[in-house]
Amino acid sequence: MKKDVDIREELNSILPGISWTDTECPFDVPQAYFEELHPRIIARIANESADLDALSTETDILQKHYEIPFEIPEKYFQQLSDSILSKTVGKHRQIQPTNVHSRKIIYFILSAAAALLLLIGLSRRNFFHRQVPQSNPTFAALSNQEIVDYLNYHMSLLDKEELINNMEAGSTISNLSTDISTSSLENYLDSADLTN
Amino acid sequence: MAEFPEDSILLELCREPGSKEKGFTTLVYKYQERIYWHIRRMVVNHEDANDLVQNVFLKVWKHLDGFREESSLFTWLYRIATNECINFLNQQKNKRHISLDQDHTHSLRLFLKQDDSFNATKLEWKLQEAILQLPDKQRLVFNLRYFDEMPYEKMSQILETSVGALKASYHHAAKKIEQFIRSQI
Repeated sequence: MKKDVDIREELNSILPGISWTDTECPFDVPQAYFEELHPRIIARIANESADLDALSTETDILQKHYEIPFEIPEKYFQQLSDSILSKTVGKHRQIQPTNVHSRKIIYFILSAAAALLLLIGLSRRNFFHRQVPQSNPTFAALSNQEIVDYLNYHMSLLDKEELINNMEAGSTISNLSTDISTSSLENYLDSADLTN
Repeated sequence: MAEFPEDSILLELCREPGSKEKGFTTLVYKYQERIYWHIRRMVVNHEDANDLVQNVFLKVWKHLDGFREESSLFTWLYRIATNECINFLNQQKNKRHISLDQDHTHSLRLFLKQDDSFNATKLEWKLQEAILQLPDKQRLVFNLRYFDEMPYEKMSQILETSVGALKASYHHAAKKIEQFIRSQI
């Protein structure tokens, strides 16, 4: 096949004086190769598609929830936690379900936080100077634990947040009196009944 | 030579679920020889070229739905084929722990000489030997220009290289080929 004029001219400009022949690629292909190439490609696509189908089946399997096929001894996990705890916190410690345990911890933390907030709030009213209004003797008679229990029973989490916000707005700590002498504090502590 | 529909018609056929297979079959018939020769000239060995040409059309089939015609179908096919060739040649180099183009060329020349019709005295075989001396990229450019007679603009789209760089590459390739052939005479 004759080369395009462009190709010839370009080669002559690169290599003047060289006569470039219309050389074709000399490689051979097997007989009827191109007639058979198309069916081969289609067959390959069909094979690959089968692989894709198989892959999608595998994906389906993964999407379903199957149990792990390994076997474990009966009541293994109950015994496992007993065994771990006996080697760590104590030999006869009963195991508490994790979620109940967590709830108790959260409950305790919230109770402690509420008690702390209450103490700070009361300090605004010179609680440490025992200037509790005598008009409410029943409140003064309450123990700290009774107050904490009351708050835990009656306050929702939102109430507690509101309380915290109010406390922050009042900036109680910064308002605390700082002109109390050490000797006054010591006298107060000596005279105070801190059993309640 | 068989008459094939325009690429735009082929793509329309391929996009319709009812005519996708028919469209793809026509696409394969239209381009299989050109793609084969493009690959064969790069990898020399027929078996390798046969595997790669099948890979190319397999990729075309898989990605046809996502082809957005940002380039022409022809450019897209050649780009896939070129990438297949370059990846294959790089893999071969790595497999043989060959890092120098000269050693890589040696293995390709062995394939050339194993061809049943190889004749070292014939100019077309001399030219092939000379082409195999070139680095892969120059070889690619020379083949596309000299054998496929492809305009630089099209080549630029396929190889994502500037026209100027391609012209320079072709120029260097032609000079090296001339030197090689002169040294053989």
